[in-house]
Amino acid sequence: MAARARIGDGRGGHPSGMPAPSPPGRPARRRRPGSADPAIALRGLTKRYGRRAALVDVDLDVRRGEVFGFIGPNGAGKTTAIRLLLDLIRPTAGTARVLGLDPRRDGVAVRRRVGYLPGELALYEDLTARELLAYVAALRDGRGRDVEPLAERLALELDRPIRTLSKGSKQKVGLIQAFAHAPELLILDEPTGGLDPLVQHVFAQMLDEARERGQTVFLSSHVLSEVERLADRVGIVRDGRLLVVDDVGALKARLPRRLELRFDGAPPAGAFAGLDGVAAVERDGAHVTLALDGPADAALKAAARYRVLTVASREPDLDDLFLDLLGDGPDARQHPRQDAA
Amino acid sequence: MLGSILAKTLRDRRRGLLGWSAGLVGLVALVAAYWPSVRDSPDLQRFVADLPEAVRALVGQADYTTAVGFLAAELFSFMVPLLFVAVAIGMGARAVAAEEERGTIDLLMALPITRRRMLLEKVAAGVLVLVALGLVLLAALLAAAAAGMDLPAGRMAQIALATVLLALPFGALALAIGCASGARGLALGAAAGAAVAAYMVDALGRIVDGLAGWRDLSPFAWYASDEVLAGDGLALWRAALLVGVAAALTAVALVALERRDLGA
Repeated sequence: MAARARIGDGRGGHPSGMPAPSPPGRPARRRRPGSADPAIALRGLTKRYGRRAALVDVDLDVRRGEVFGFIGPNGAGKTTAIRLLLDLIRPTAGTARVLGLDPRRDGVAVRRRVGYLPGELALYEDLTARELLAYVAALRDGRGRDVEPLAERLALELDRPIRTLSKGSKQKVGLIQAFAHAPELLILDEPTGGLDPLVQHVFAQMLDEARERGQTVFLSSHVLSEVERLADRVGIVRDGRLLVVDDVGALKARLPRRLELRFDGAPPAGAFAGLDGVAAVERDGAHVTLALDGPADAALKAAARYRVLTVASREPDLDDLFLDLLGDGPDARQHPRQDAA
Repeated sequence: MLGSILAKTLRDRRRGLLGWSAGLVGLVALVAAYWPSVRDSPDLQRFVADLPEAVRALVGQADYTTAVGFLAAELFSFMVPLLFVAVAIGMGARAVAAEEERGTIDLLMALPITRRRMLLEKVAAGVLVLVALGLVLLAALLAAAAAGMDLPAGRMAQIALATVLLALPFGALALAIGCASGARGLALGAAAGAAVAAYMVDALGRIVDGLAGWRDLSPFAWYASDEVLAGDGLALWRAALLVGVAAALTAVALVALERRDLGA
C-alpha cells in the first residue's frame, strides 16, 4: 500500500523535526532612493457610514517593496480601506499616508505614483480596450501609453469594444491600466477575480517582476490560499478590524501541523501522552492523529516503537488560520495580535 | 484621440447631439412649412387676434401676421426652449452622477486629476454641446429665412444665444444636485421639476396678477423670447443673470463634490 508520507513536506516553511523558526526573515528588499517612508501607513484609520462602522481603528505599515495581502471575507472593510487610500472616500477618524503623502491633501501626487485596480471594476463599455487605455494614459500625462507588451502577455484583444469582452478580459484591461505606468505602488482590489488559471499564472509573474523592480504591491482577496502564493506578508481583516498582520511563514508556524499515523494494531493508551511538541492526540483504534506545535522528533520516535503502516503529515493551510480567526468560537481570540513591524 | 475628459465627454454626447439636432431641424422645418398657409389665411389671423388676452399671452403674444411673431408663438414660447433645457438637464444630471452609478468613477478618480478639473471639463463639454445645438438652431432659422420667411439674421442669432443661455442654469442645477447626491435620477427629476415650475410661473404670471411678482424669479422670464424676437435685443442684464446663476450653481456643485465620498 502506497504510503502517503509527506513528512515535512519540503515545500517552504520548516521541515518537521527542526525547531519551528521564529518569523522567518525575508531578504531585505531593494529600496528606492529617498523612500524612507512606508509605502502605506495607517494610524487609527476609521470609517463609519452612519452607525455602521466599515473600518475601525486600523494601524498598519506596508513596507516599500513588499507584496502585502489584505485578506478578509466580503464586506470586511477591504475595499473601504483601499478607497480611502485613493481619496475616493474620506476617513471619519485617523490618518492614512501613501508614499509619505496625505491622499486628502496631495491626492494628485499620490495617484500619479499609484496604480489601482478597483474591486468592482467598471469600464467605459462603449470604448475599445485600446481607446480606454489611451484615455487613461492621456490623463496620466502620457505615462503608460505603451500597452502592447502587457496586452500581448495577457492575450487581450485591444480592438474589441469592452462591452463585448468577458469578465476575465475586462479584468485584464483593469490590470493593464494599473500596471502600464509602472507605479511605485500597486493597489489591487481582488485582482484575480474572473481570471482563468493560465492568466493567474501570468499575473503572479507580473507581481514577481514588480517586486524585482522594487514596486510595492497591496492586494486584497477573500481567498487566503491564493494570496499565500503571492504575498510576503498578510493582514487579516474582519468586521472592519485588522485582526493580525504577519509573515505568511510565521502565520503558518503558529498553526499546529497534523501528523496522521496508522499502525498495525492499536498502540497502547498513553503511548503519545505528554510528548514534547505534541499538542493533542486523537485516537481511533489503529489510527492516531497528532497535532504538533513543536518538533516532530519525540512523536516520531515514540511512533517508531510500534509497527507503523502509513505516515501522513499535512502542512497547515492558511485557510485553517482564516477560519480559526474568523470563527466565532473562543478560538477566535486565541492568537495574540502582532503589530506590523 | 481621447486626450482629455472634455474630449471624452464630447464623444459620449455625439449621438445625443445628433439626435437633438435632427429633432430641432425638423421642428423648425415643420413650422416654416406651415408659415405660408398661415400668412395667407386672414381668417386664422383674425381668429388669433380675437383670442382673449390671457390665451395670447400664453403663446407669446401670438402675432400671427408676421413671420417673427409666428415663430415666437410656435417655437420660442415652449418647444425650443424646453428642448434646450431638457438637453442641459440631462447632461448636468449625468456628468458626475452617472460615473458614480456605473462605478467608472473609481477608474477615473484614481488618475492624477483633481475633482475640480474633472467637473470643469465636463461642464465645458456640456456648454460646448449646447452651443453646438444653438448653432444648429441658428442654421435652421437662417435656412428658413432663405426659404422665404422674413426673419432678420441678427434677431435669429440673438434668440439662439438667449436659448443657449436659458438652458445653462437648469443644467447647472441638475449638476449641483447630482454632485451633492451622486444620484442621477434625483438630479434629473428635481431639475426637471424646477424647470416645469419655472415655466409655469412665467406663463401664468403673465395672466394671473397674484403671480406677477413671482415671475421675476423665473429664468423663463429673464429669457423673454418675445422681447428678443420683437427686436429689443438680448439685454445684457438678462444674459448676465442667466450666466451668473449657472456659474453660482456650478460653484455649489464643485463644493459639494469636493466634500463628499464618491460612489458611496
